[in-house]
Amino acid sequence: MPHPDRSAAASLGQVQEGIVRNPVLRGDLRARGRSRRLWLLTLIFLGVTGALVFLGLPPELDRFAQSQAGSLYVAVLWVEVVLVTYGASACLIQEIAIEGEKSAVDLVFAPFPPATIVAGKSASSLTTIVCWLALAAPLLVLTTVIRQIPWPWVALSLATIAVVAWGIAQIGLLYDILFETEFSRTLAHWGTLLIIFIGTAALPPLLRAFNPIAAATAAAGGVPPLAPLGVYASLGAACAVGAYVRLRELPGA
Amino acid sequence: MVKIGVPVPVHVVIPPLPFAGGAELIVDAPALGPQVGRVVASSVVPFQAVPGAARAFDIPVVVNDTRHPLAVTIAINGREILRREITIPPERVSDRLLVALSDEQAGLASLRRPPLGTVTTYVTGETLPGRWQEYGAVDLLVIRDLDSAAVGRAQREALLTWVRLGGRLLLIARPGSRLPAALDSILPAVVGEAHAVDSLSALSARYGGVFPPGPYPLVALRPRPGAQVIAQNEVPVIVSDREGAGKVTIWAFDPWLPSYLKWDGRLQLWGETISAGAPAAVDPDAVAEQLPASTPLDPLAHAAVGCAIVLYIAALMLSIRRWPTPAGAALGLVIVAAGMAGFALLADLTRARSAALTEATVLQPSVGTGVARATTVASVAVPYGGRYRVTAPPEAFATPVAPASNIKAVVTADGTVLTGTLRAGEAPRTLLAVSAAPIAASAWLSYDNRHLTLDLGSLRLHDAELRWHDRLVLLGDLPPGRSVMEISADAWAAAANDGRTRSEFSSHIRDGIFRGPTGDAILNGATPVLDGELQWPAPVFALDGARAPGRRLTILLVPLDRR
Repeated sequence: MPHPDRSAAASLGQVQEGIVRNPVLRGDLRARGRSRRLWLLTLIFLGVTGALVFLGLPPELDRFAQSQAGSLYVAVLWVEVVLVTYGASACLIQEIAIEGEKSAVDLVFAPFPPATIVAGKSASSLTTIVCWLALAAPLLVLTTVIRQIPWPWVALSLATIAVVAWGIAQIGLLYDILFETEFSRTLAHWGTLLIIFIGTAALPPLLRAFNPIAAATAAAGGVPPLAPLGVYASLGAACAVGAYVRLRELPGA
Repeated sequence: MVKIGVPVPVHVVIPPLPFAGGAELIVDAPALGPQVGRVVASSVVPFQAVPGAARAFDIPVVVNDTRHPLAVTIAINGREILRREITIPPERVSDRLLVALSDEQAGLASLRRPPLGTVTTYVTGETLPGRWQEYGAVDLLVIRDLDSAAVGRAQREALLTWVRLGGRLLLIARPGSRLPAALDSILPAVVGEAHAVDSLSALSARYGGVFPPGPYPLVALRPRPGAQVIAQNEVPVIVSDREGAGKVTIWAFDPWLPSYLKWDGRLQLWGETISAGAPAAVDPDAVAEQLPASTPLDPLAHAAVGCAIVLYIAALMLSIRRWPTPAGAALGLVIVAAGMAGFALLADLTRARSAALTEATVLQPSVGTGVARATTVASVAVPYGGRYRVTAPPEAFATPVAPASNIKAVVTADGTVLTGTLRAGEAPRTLLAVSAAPIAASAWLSYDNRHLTLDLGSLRLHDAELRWHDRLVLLGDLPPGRSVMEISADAWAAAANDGRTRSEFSSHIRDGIFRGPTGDAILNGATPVLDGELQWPAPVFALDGARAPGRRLTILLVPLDRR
């Protein structure tokens, strides 16, 4: 008699095979769906978001400046953009090693062309990001409905977080291919994250809009952060192209 | 004529218009408020427009800033049809207003000069207000010529109520004319036939000035018992008496006649008549300051939200871990969808339970009239921000305590609906309602301050106290009916150190009444007062959508006679 977990996984695999054409994406989704580590990461993400929503429940009193309105809702978005971005890039760079998921470099030796590998990895990262945001959406609903934040603003904020997190996660994909040692990869990853999240905050006001937290704040107020969205989408695409070029240069490709 | 910060009735006549449909008369009054920028308080009267029909409305408006014009707009089906701006000239603004009903519309211009500084306006019986609150700006109403037939029942009732609750009325008895019969019950004297006297030395001696040579036409007055009389050789010339908290005076002479217009002492007499006996009033700002600044978050709502978050995360994570299959993914989606709906509902509930209305009503009975002035100050808290809609009954005049731009008062037959928006974290909006309530209560203190006699009718008073200046005597709960209490000399304690046991809310509100920032009219007055809490059945304001109970307090404030 087959093991129930194995039969369930097989069933998931069959359905995915039908829906998902990219074998790398299919493999990653299968691995991520079964991963205890990713499950724990999701639990931490939801736990932190839930705790923040709960602690931010009492109304903020004695605030007079209009600019401060809805700050707790924005704080939830800040936490989401930081956690989702880190989680997505850490998974791609193998800093959080998901059981059964192969890195892009390892896949070079499998019969997949580099374009399939890069597209699959990018798509699995975006899927994970969207999944996390969707799972946390009810918690965000609680804090936005209570403060009567317009739905379009919430949708815009979530879209902004998804694009920014995906763009930055693609850097993780590139670093995973560029750096051979785990130490240098981790160092470069953290350095990049610090520059993006903290370094950009020290830029002149005009350039400060490219800070992911500033972009999420702008979106939370209903202002589409078009320039940051364009920059992070381009950054993601450029990293994907870079990863593709580098993969082609590898001997196994 | 305008008195800053006090409601004045604006009489608007709308000419026949060729439109039909739902219409609104909107009066935008500029105001100086705590908000940054220009503040405009809007009062709205909805009506049904009929083509070719003229309409007239009286709408009470509080003007706070006369530098900008008052804007009157007619909108039909949401489209602006007419707009007129009314500039208020400075000479029409004063803190002393005299309204005269007289066929002869001249002769009082000299009252405008210092030290009186009184703005005078002439009206007719038809334009008298139908609500007593609209007399709020009037310091003295002079009735010289009044066609009783032109005054409706509501107008008569409004006039009588205003006088009983503190208004000052002067009637001019003229030969050949009758005083309005509707006022018989409050007149301090019976009016008789015309006659003349050769001298008015009593008036000269009292108010100064010299009369031109006589004779001086008078009307005979027969004072009622208890009335105050100024007489010339035992002929009453001026008779006055209290009517509840107000005062009614009859002059047996016509001050519009040349012999009186030439008298130098008349300004002194007018000044005394205008400013005499203003009743102590509750300062709404002082009471508003004592209302709670926020609503504590309902612990039940807090606990429900906490449990829901834990349940949601647990259900989701369990389904992901237990069923990593397409069916499990579908179940996860169902949980997320259910979470969205559930949390949206929970958020609505939490929001509704946080919005609350707190109100404090101060009832000031007018002795011997069976009517009391009810001043209600309420605060509307919407801690998470958003719109609010508060309804006050039709008999109450409702307005914001402090002017604010984003508040609209819609006056309908069912009452006044105040709508506005509060930002998240913004301090509660304070509202004021003034109405009359049928209350019969009286109390008096013996001249030696040792005996307090009470007649509370059917009212039961809780945590009663006797206040005089900054000292008080705690009386505890007082039963309905008539009772006599002995007050020992050492029962008086400092108001700040009374060892009181009543609720914090009640203590704050009483502090607001007696320690108001604008002059402590009640505390510093010579009159001792009895105060206590009443179980008053009906709330004045109602907040739509609020599920939190909101606190209410009713304080009875009885000025004590000395007997």
